[in-house]
Amino acid sequence: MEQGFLNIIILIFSPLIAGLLIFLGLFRDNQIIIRRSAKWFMLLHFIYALAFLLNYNTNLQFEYVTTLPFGLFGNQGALITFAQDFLSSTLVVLCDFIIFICLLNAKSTVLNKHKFFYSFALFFSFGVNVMLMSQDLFLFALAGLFEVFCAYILILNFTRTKFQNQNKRYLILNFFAFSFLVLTLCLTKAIFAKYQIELDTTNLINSADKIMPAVQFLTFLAFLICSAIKLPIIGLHKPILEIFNNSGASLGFISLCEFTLGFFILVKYNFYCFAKMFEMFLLLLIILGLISLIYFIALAIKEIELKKSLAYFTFSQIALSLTCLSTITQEGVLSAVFQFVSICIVALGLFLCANYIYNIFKTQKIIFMGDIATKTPDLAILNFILILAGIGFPLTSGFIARFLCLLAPCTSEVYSQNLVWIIILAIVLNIVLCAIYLLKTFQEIYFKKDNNLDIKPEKLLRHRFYGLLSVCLITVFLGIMPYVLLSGMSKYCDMILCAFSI
Amino acid sequence: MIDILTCAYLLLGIPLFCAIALILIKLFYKKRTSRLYFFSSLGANFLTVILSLILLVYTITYQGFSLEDNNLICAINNILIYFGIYFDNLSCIFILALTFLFFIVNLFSYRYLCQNRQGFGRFYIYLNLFQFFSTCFIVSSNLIQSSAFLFFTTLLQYLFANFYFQKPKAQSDSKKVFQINISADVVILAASVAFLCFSMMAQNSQDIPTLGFNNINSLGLYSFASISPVFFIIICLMFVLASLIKSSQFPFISRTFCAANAPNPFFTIFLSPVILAEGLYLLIRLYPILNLAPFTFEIIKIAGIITAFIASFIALKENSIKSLISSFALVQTSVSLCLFGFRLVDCAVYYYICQTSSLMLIAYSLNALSLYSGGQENIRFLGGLREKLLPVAIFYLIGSISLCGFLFSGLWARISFENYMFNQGNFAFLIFSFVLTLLCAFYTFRVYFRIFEGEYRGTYEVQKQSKLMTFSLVLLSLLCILIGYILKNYSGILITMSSQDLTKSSVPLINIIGFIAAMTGYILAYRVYFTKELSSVKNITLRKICANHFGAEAFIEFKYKTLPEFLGKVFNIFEKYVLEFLYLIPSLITRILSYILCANKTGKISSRIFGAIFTIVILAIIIVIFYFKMGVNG
Repeated sequence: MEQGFLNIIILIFSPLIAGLLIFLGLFRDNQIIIRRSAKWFMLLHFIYALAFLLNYNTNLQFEYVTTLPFGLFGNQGALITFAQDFLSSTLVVLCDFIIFICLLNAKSTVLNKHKFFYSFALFFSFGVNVMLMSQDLFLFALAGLFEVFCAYILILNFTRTKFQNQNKRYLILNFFAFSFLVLTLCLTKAIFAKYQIELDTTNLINSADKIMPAVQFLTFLAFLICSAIKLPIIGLHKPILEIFNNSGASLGFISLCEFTLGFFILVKYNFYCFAKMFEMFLLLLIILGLISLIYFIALAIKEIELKKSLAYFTFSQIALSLTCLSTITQEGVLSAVFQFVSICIVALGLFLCANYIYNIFKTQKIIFMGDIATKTPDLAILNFILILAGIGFPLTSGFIARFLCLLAPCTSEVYSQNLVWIIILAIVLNIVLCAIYLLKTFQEIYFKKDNNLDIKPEKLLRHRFYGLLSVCLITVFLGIMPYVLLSGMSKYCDMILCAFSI
Repeated sequence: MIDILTCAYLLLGIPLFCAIALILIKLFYKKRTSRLYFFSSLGANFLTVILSLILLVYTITYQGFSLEDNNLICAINNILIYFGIYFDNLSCIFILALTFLFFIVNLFSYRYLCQNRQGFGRFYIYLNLFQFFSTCFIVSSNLIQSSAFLFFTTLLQYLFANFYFQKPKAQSDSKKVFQINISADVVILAASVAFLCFSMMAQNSQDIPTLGFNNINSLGLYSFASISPVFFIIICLMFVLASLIKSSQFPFISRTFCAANAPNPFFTIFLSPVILAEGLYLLIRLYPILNLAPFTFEIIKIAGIITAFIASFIALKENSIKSLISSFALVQTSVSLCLFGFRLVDCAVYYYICQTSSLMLIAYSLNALSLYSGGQENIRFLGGLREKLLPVAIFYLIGSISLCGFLFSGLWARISFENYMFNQGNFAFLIFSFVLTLLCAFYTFRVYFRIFEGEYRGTYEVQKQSKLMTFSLVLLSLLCILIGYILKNYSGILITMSSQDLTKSSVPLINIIGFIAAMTGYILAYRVYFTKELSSVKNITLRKICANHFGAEAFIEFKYKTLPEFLGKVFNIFEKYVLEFLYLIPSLITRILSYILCANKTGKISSRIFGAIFTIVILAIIIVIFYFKMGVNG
């Protein structure tokens, strides 16, 4: 189909080309030009993705499937096919925004190897885009490994050496998961071959019943493991926790984009493609979700390191998304997506704040922090707005998300009313504990009086201020006008719920 | 000509515009601006008082009038969220009380802030924002809007309680205030959402209605019919629990005492219809639903009675002025809730408004006194101030006489509720009310004798009295004297929630017993604290038992601190020892594989079977992949 200027190929491949141009030395070693060109490119890409989302907001199953004339391993291999739907386009916009804000912050944190950092950040963005928009499943798996590899390289070069074991662990886990996925996809492809069907996402959705149950189970499990490592689901959260904890402001996009990819896999493949299997796993998922709701937030309250506790808080909020998704209702899917987008934006803001605070105190331990409310008032105000969004105050995206999350279990017809009340209770408990955690942390960092601390008044750097401000504005925008996201999503939800027998 | 709807919107908008203007002044006008803040805020408040009076007159003129206007602000899927206003007699009374109190706070705070020289702009911005959010909460046309604005009032309460954030006590207490309030808000939101959902299911409609207060009765019936009674009761219990928390009832009494770190003029707002009665107001709005779950009224009654006794005993032993005012206020709120528990809604509103006017007078007299005596908050270090601060002593006495039910508004309030109890045959509660009257007289006059009689024990010179403060105290005393009479005369129009006749003829015997109880309290206080003939009585009080609110403090500490931390510790152990072990498995597999590969490469491997198997597996996978791919394309 003709796409004109807003073309899916341009959307996906432009970060790769931009990254290659930087990597191959188009700007030689001029650090300022490299930094600025990468930053401006990412901003343009974000606007392009947004225009793409708004222009092709048709809510249909898949729009504008584009296939390149050559395969991945010649004509016998995977086809290079891309397609977009509402969820993938939304998540591309979200990832672009996250990467843009982090690149904005790289100005004061990445002081050497500019060429290397910015080109690999763009490669990572390319990998994410391919994963979100690929139609061919082998291409999807390959892109999954590519983006993890880019993340590994970035972390290897731009974080402390002490942390590299954890980084390796994440790479290994992903490698295992995607290898398992490829194996199961091969089996699926073998079955599809009998029916002369090509293995791609659309066919997987339409012809999932043709796959024998055991293979369906294995493929579903493989997707679930991939999603659980990235999202993360309780038990597999440690490596991504360490990545979150050890990344600076400039590398924040890695963990947040990984969450996004995990969520995408869960909704698109586990929920949509394998609806029957999802029903089978429903009890397990809801139990995992409910445990995670309390488990992660209790750990966040107990944790003494700022970024680690923030990571636990984010996990608990993602668990809320998972719980809502497991209700299998329109409200459930809507709340899951909205809650996820909301928490990604809030977590980005809080993550940046945590990094600025680290720069002031040079420690992650909350007990050694305090009394900076009057020293950096800009940061305190912006952080407080984000904390209100995290708690779920009205006029922020958090409130709408919480409202929908509370509504989702009530509308569910899958569970008995006893279980519905248990879910509501767990959600209420989670929200209250989140509020306790966020306020406690905020007070300790900004107000706690400590005479041993000698902090000089410091103004928030301009690029940091605008980065945080834009995050806050988006949170408020989504809180005031949630229908921007929800109107498109609701039709999409209707469509993906058709696959369920419940 | 401005119509009544515009008046109503102006009433809402003026504090918000004022707050925005003050923020702009704070940001862009760097000169000394304390008077500018004061006068703009005072002017805005004065306008709101006028507007609320107009609305009240309108209500009285057009009997049974109610004004509703809804504006769609957001549609979440098929749920329509409205910002609406709903003015009826109940909201008019509460709005008038609220605007009047904010006006008094404005008058009062100037001198206080001048003395403290801190946060002038911040205080007035918070104050106007608080007025806006409180007004929005009271005139909300639907339950979702109410619960949303409760979040904002919680935020403002936190900001005020943490106003002096340099003090560690203010930090810890404000945190407690926030935690307790936010729990209530979330529970209310959850209950509202559940109610919304079930009422939607019952109506079998695609368009989910927002929970309008004007048709809450029918919505309640729909929900009641559609779900099992147990779940309906759970929703009602959630509402009741949250409302009790909002009204600082047992075991959440500490919320009120924690708010004591707010600036003095504002602290009194905590105890007024603005905050402490949020729960009561919400319960009254939800009365039609709660009527379908009668069990909930029993809970309200029990919580009210326990809180009233605890607060009374705290008042008997407390020496801090703010704690004393808090406990006075808690007793009155609890009694109102008890009355609500007996389904005497009109009587509860009447009692609350009358007693609050007395309480505000007492609270502001004590605040003024504390300010004049150099910020002294402990009544043990005061005394003999009657001669030095005669007007304040008179205002305090007027408030005390009214609160104990000797004269003025308090008398009408006491008579109405004691007679209701008698007529309904609730003799147990009647005796309870006599005991409370006795205790009330004892503790209010204890404070009077401690502060105004005897020798002055303070170290600071008593300062000159402020005219603004005296003027505001005069206004409050007028309100305290007249409000009971006015409300009684217009009760047929203003207080008609459950069609109870407040002007019902009273039984003289009950009035006399009530008077004797109050008199006994006064005489006891006189003998113990003035003539000191019965000073040993002090030791017989239940102060030790009440010191921790019957363990409520420990409960709150457990719920908000110990339990999450304990869970965190347990989960931490799991993280450290169990999960870490599980993560070793992939690493071990990788190591084994790499060992086999290395051994195979260097030829150290004893059996070549490993190498052969590995190669065969890899080859098999590749063959399978290509075979099927060829199959598809071929």
